[in-house]
Amino acid sequence: MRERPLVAAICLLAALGLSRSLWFHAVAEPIGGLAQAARAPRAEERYLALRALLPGGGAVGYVSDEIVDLAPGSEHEHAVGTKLYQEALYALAPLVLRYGDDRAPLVIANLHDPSRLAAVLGAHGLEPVAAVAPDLALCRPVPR
Amino acid sequence: MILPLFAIAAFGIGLASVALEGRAPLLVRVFVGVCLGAAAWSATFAALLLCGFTSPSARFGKDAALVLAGVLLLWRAGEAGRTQRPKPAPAWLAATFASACALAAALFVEHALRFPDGGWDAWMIWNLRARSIARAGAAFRSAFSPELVFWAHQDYPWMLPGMVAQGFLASGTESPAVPVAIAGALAALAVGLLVAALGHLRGMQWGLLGGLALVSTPCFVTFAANQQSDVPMGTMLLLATVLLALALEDERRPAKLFALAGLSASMAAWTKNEGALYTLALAAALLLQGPGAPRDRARAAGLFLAGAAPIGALLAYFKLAMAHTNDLLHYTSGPTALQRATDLHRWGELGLAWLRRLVYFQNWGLWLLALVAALALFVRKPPASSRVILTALALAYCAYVPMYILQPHPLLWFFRASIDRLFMHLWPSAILATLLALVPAAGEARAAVPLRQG
Repeated sequence: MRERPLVAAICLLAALGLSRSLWFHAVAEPIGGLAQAARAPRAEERYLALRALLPGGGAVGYVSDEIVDLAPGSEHEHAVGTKLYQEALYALAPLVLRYGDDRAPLVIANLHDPSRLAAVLGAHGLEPVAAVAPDLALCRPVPR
Repeated sequence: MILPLFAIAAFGIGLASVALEGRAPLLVRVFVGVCLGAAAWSATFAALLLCGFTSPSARFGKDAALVLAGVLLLWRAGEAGRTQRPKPAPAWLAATFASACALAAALFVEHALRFPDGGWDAWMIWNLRARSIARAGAAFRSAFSPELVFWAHQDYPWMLPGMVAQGFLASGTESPAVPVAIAGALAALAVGLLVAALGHLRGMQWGLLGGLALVSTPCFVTFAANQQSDVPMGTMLLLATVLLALALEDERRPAKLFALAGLSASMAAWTKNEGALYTLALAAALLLQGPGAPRDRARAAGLFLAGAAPIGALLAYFKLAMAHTNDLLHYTSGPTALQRATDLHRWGELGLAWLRRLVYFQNWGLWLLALVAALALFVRKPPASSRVILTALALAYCAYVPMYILQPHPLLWFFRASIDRLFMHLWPSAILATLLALVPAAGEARAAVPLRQG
């Protein structure tokens, strides 16, 4: 291929590509809102206080008012519960969060709707050890 | 952080200098070296942990050993021979490239400020793993616990988490600036390596144009800022293909370069599962499309695989001893695989989705379409360097088809969530191979590849 047309084609394609990038990062992600977005709290800040109460490793139980997807095939059915679990996992690493295990010595109750805390604890036979937030609690099994 | 940076630079540039033996200019040695050094820094960290050496002093000793090895390698490499200066690029092109890089860097910073934890894959897989390894100390194996849900992909190799974990430990902080800086560095290495390699092989004008193509690909900046493993994978694969190109365009076909290319490909395998596929594809391409007699091709492929053996052994140990079963395999049985393979609707859906992706302007501009058109219309007899790389990319590309058909997730959802990132693995090498094919090497006739007539 002749040199000049190739050079011109690459430059033209580069201009198109950079224009698209600039549009996405300055308009679609409005540049005016960047300062506010940069100051927004990270998702893991929700779990900072809880992390201070937990051991540094090992495993704890995890319950929620939302279902967590445990197998592929239902990627959008339980997005809320799955995201809550994933964010908790990230924040509390390297702790292993055993979803559905309500008999572990320590159990995290992580809720989407704070008004359901009592119901979730009751359903799983748990009592609070520490209420970190209205929708987040460290619990243990009620002695039988 | 000083010692780790010295370890990366000294070991990598030392290794590159010994392998290149003065046959490549400083720019190539530096970019090849830093890529190699960064990968080796991470792989040796993993080997150290897997052998039970988890203390800070062990990490310090490892980095000190890398520095020492690097100094010895540099001493052994001796003075670099004189290489021919590449034909310089025009000033307007250098200014254009610099402006494009500045813009891309600014957009990278914007995205990183907006999403300091990166994209979903970054915080759910790579940074989760890094954080777990850094925090757990001697109990680092919990990062790969089979009790974690499959979303965490505990079976993935850990090149990038190894870098980020060491960054956290060396800096004493878990600031998101650490993975952001590593992501930016690996992206910059890809651009620099492409510029340096093409500049050496075809003249700096083509080096800068190749770098411009990469930097101006819309999804390149976004994927880099997302802190995921796809741009690092592209960097490692590019390292392997650059070394192969250097080997294949050298009449002496130096054994060290084939072996180093294999080592680099195995580093790609240590980055993501797909890297193992790319390593095998490159070896197969050397056998099928390499220059010379079958014995010469077998020699090249053998040297390549020998170079891949050490990291291949590390990967094999990790997979056998620690890695949780891959979700694509775990949730696929014989009957379900057969049912998916014989579902014609599934094939049709995939075919249409793939065609649509050729003109997916949001992520690729018109680059993908242009590349396919250039290869189809203007490339007749590519040189061996280009032929081998393009064959490997085609083999890898074809392997994606059964992967998509047989995997257990909803097809279109999985395809849209992954295909652009898979393309990004191959994209820097595709740019390299295409320009090597379109632009004659120095000394060859100009316009060696004629335009199609009629």
